[in-house]
Amino acid sequence: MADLTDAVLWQRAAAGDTDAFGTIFERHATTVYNYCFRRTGDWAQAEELTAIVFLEAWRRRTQVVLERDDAIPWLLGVATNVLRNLRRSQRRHRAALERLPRERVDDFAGDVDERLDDERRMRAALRALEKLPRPDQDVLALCVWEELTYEEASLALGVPVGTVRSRLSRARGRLRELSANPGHFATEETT
Amino acid sequence: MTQKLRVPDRRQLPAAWIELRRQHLLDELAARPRAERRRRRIVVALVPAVLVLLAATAFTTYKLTRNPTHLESVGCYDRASLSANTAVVGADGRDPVAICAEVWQEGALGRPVPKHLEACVLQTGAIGVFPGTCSSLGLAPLPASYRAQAMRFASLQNAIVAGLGTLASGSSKRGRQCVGRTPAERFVRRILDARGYGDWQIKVAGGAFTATAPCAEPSFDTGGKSVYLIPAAR
Repeated sequence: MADLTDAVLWQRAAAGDTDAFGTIFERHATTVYNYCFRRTGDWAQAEELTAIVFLEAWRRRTQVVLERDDAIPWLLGVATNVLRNLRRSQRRHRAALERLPRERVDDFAGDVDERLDDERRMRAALRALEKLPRPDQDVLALCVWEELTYEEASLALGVPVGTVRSRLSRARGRLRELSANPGHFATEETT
Repeated sequence: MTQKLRVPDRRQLPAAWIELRRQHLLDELAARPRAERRRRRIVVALVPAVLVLLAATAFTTYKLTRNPTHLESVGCYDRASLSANTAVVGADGRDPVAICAEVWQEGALGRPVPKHLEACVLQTGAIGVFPGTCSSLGLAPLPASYRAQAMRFASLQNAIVAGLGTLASGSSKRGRQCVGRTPAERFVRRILDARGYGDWQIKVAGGAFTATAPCAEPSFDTGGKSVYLIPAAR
């Protein structure tokens, strides 16, 4: 199963093959988890959100035919919607969330300080991001933090590529204005 | 050159975590088709009989007596179909048609804004607002008694939210209060009892209360007669 492409796995999942969907989970859970963390600044919440995103993706699996051989844009689109409608998503999947395994995995235990530091830094970044309109935040998070192409972000958000471009341009402009105030929030220059 | 907010590096998920959660996911998915099949079997067996027996008077009676049981949200449908795209928004005691009209005005459900919206009671007891008529979908219209019911519930919601802070939303923005689990439970119980919701339960969902998530945020489930306390960061 591991050698099958996302498109094939998705096709099988849409036909009801849960193992195929399990393979998609194995393949992309880390990306979804990191995206959810970067949108919330909370590793524990990101764990729960990752579960919700895949439950939601399963619910909507028949509504989508993967146009390209990568499920990530679509999964991050689902994640963006889940984040936007969190209360509804939590309510819809409440029973499943209550059954989430809560055992601590040893590999998590060693880096508690680093994870707390991540959360502190991420929340600082999110405070700055919150100064942008929500659609611009989504585009910036997908294109800059997750490094999706314009086309992939367009698929994720269900908006035209031109809209992605203009939102990203607007977001960058606004961030430049904000960063002109030293100490307002942390920024870095990358090439 | 691109200027961007500095964010922490990605973290890899431990293989054991992925396996644990994959198994949980598969268990959940395995349970769903059984439930769907069971519902389908019941529907296949019952629908013909129901159609014959209730075609006229019984169905009319059903329509006239249907009451909503889920008051905390309203589903705004983008066309007159139960499988249409839906924006689910919080109810606040106002007419659901007015709430969904606003959602349409904001462009969230597309254009043009329909001239006629009608609020119906879904089979689940939830409220759906459609650009069409309830009767064409075989649904009962929202009864007139809803308004008093909705206002009473909105008042309960407001009282609890005022005491605990913002509704659970996942946003990092919070109200100023941070009420811990035990005082939150005591407070919610008192409000429920005082307002005639004595048979409601208080439950914790969305993880455990911890040092990093010590504040209780409320969420409501009228169908399950429950107030959920969701741990949130300060």
